[in-house]
Amino acid sequence: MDITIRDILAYLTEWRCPLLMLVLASAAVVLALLGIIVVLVFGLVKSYGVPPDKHPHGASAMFVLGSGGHTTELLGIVAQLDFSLYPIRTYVSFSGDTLSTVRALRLEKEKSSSSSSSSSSSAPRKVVTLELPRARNVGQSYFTSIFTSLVCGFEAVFAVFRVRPDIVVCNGPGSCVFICFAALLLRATRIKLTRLVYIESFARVNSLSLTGKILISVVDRFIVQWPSLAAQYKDKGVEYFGILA
Amino acid sequence: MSRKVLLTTGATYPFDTLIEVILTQHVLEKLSALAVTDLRIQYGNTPTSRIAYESCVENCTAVLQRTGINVTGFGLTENMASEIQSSWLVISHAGTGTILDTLRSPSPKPRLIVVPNPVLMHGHQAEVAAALEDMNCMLYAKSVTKESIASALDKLDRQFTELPPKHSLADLINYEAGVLLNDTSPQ
Repeated sequence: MDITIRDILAYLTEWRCPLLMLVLASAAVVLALLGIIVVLVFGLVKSYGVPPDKHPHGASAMFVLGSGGHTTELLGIVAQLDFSLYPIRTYVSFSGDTLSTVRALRLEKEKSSSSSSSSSSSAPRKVVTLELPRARNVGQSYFTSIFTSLVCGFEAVFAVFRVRPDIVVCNGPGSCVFICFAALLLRATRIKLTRLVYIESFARVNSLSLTGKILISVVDRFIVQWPSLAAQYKDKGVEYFGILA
Repeated sequence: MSRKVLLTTGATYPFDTLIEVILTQHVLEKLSALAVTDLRIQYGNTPTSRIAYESCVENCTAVLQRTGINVTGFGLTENMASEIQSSWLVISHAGTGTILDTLRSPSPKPRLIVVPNPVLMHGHQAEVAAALEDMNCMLYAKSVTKESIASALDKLDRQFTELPPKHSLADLINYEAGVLLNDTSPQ
């Protein structure tokens, strides 16, 4: 039996042709995905020019505790905040680092006992501690860290979309990048215009950390603690006020 | 009167060589000359570090008995701050947590000698140490040798400068979170 080109064309142009349906369907899916991406990117880009949303009744804050010295520095900054302005506080730490959670809860206890007489104790409050899997353990190979990073990324998106914080404050190391990107996704969907504040560690005197280099162009405020870093990254909008720790 | 020295090696990476160097006759006699009575050693989380610490103590039992320095050790503690506050001198790996806890601890502030872990010498720990030594806030022993630590111990009688007071980020964070009721824009 001869099959001519004309036969094939006739078959393909017949609308019930499964192949044509497949092509059309996948084109539609690709277009829809592209559309979603364009909308998300547009939403994200637009979110940078505007001042932060007002939350006169208090905000939800997410503090990302990196472990060790990072946790010390961040909790030192958190301790300066008036907790009555942040009725919802979420502390994120990463697996293998139980001390950070303990220290965050200790700070909570100290703060609540020092302000027990004021009106803030009657305000509704919600303190949550979350533990996410670490993106990469010390000494782990780069290949397997691809998978652990994926798990960390999904968990970060899940956590951020559930909490929907008004602000994320972080200071590294590595794993906080996933929280920031999850917050950017939240922001791109315009569910919440989460603001991002990154504080480069006091340990960084002359050069930014890798985390800092990744986050410098996506966060709203980027703060360094040494004058030489401030001078180097002045045109990137880096801010320097002195030592924060 | 007791005079305590705290030695820290950090939580993440073992730093057994620092313990070895401190527990040598040379350094212990220096400490004894500085009227040190107690040496507290934070040896870290790994079982090998504990074994290393114990064998170091065993090796210098004679010197310890002669100098009367009482050595005690622990792996990790949640209450580093109180360990630091009760010390006269802190000899530390260059972890910023310990450095800041020491430099910000209430008066009488312990003196601080920092010895960066050479395993982590891709720069920044040593940079902080160098920057803070330039500010005369502490002493920086650049290598893990008894000579470099002894020479730092010789400089402890100097007047150290206070770390500048910390700047608060509360206003900036409040602004970003939108909880500042009066409309102050950044800068």
